[in-house]
Amino acid sequence: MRDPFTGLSDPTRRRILDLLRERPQTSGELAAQFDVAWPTISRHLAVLREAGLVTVERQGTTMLYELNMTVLDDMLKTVFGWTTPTAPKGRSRK
Amino acid sequence: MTDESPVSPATTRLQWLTLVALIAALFAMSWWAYYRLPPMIVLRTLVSGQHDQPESAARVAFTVPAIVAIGVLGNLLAGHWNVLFWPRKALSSRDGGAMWPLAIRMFTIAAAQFIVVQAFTLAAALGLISEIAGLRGAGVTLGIGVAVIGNALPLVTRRNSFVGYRLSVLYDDPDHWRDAQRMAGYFFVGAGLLLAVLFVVAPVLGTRLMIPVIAVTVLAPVLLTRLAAVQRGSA
Repeated sequence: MRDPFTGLSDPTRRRILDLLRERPQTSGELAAQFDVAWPTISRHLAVLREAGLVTVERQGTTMLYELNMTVLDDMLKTVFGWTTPTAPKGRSRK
Repeated sequence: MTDESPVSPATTRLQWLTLVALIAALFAMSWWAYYRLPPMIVLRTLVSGQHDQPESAARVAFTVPAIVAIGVLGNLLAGHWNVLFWPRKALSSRDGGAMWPLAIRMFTIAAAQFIVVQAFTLAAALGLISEIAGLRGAGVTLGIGVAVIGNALPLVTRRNSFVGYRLSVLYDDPDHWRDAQRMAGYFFVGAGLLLAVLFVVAPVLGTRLMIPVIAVTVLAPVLLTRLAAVQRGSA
């Protein structure tokens, strides 16, 4: 069952959703844009997937993550952004 | 192979049955009311809200079912023959399969919405509620339905034949497709809420503004997304 509140409550997860808005990405591509370890990002992705906010598709040996947010989810994310601390800035993309 | 399998075949069958049952209920309700309506009726409805000419009982009773039947059948047949993508495109059956459960859910929401719209219309036609109450109820239901469907539009992430904005210009680029569905979602939610409020406050004005609001809502996302793609140089 969808649980957007859990998924959106963490600033890093909201930052991941912002990055996925640009295009679907692999966990490796996403992790490269943060200063935290890849397993941490992987755990956040698992939470987002459990919350129904992202879908994942296997492409060969990699997993491609894609945004799966309704308009209401997007509005909730904006509200969470106002009320909770902002995400650590990701590294600028190479 | 997609890793997501949120909907089982049994659930999909149940959703199909629900959709068929809702459409059957809509026709049954309309048929039942048709034999109880006077031959000619002067009634403002969502479809004929701008004039006070007498209308036949058949038109009052069967306009909404006809719209639903043409909408659902037309959508399924157009999807089956892939006519909305012109020139014809080679669609991924995997993407179509991934979007199919969402398509059934959205058709079901639309059918349920039209049942309530029809119930308000027929109740007013039969004199069970006032004309304005019928118009208000039908309009608010329509607005909420548009908002609910719009809320789910950004979930149409894969190019397919059955649901979402299925135009050839959007199909050419997956990013373009996703952007259009997302933007359309916002337009639909905004327009739906606007219509709902409008029909609460001023139902007759709502009937006058309904068509222009829906026209802008349908066309604007395609034009804006296309414009953005041209500016990015991707179209």
